[in-house]
Amino acid sequence: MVRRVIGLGIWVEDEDIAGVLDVVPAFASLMIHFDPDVVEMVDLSRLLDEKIRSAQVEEIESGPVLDIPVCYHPSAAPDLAELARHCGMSQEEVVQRHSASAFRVYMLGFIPGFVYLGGMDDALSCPRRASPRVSVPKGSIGIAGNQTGIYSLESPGGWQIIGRTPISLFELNRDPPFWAKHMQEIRFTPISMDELEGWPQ
Amino acid sequence: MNALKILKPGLLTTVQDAGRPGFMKYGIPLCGAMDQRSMRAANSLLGNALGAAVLEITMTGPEFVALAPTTIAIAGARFDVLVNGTSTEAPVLSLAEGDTVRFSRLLEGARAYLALSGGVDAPLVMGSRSTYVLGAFGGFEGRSLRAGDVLNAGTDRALTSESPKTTPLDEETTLRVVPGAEADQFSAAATEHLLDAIWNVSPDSNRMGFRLTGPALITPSTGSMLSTGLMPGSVQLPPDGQPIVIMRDGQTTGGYPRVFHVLSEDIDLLAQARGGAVVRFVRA
Repeated sequence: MVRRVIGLGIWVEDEDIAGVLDVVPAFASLMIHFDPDVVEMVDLSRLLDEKIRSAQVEEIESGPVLDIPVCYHPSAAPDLAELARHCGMSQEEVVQRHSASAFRVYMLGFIPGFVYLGGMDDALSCPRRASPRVSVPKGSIGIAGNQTGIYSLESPGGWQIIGRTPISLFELNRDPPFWAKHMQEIRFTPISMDELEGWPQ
Repeated sequence: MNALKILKPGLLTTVQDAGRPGFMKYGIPLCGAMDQRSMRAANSLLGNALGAAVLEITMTGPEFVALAPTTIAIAGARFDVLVNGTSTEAPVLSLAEGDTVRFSRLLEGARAYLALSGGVDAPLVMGSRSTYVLGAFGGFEGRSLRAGDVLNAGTDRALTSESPKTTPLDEETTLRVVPGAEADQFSAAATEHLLDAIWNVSPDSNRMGFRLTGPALITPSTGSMLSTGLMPGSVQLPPDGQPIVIMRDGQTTGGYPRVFHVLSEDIDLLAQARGGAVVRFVRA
């Protein structure tokens, strides 16, 4: 499903339809922001219906596998113990299963560069925290339901934090500013606290 | 050219423009002036491009000094504005070098827009000069203005002359809405409840979103769904039954059902509502 949504989003952008301002793919929906003074909703709907019915899915250039270093040390992973308890396994097993999963970027959103990753080992599923934190550090790796997410900026958040990466997902002055692409494959490699703190920026 | 030096910044004074469309798929919000209509009105008074960068002044106004002869225009919320200590109601002010302008008491509305002849100069970031404070980019160094900041005028002149209307500043705000994408998750009775209720703007409303408080639904939606796209005007209804209207710096995706969508024009009205103000929804 998510592959079809992202493919449809790429198609809408490539078509360069006058009046289309923004295209936001999500897990099972595509939001198109358009100027009704330039393009009529009925015309846009007709174009999309035809495309969806054709069942052609665009090629998605997802790039190479991204390797993301993650420190799962308790001081960077305040919810690791709680998540391990919830899932009925040791903390070591959580880390082992998490770093063995092959993730894909299903969605970017919420805040600049935040990535929603599908493909996690289902045994690690865990609900969001009952009460969100006022501030989650940049680079935090979180679990909510059966997804993993990476906080690209320091922000409020309710995901269960199980690690932190020194990689910056969003850097305005980098080209491209966003590190990960839709559908890109991501793997996590455990690093130590020393490596996290000494990571070259 | 140096135009203005900030002496006191006010509560939240930021550089804003028509916005930053095209990057929502990466999580970059639309950004830009909360009350687009008043931004355009201020710019049109000076012959600027209607979407030229302006200062958005929130609740408490700034005090500044002109560093060179400068023409400014003010629209949106009404403040008691003093030039060299003397109150004025003129929407366009021609300042001489050394003139000071102070935004004193807020009389009506919540956000005023100050245009500079030629627009406020700031670097274009993803096609816009607007400040996105959470992302710490755009506008003046990615932040709200501070004492000592010096603003320059740009060269953003209008190609056409147009005189946009200003935003009405009423005690109560009525927002015209169309059904949101998840409207069918709500019963007819629930929808009527939301349309009949009197809502109040929560004081923690900001550029990201306006939280409305009022009578919760008796049978709220379960509220569990996959995250979907949001944009300014999306009305989310979390399980606590208190609507959230997404504004210009709002998150680009969210997981609460979108019950309504506010007409784009009416977002300007909400931008002028203060904490505690009464808001109603009506069918467009």
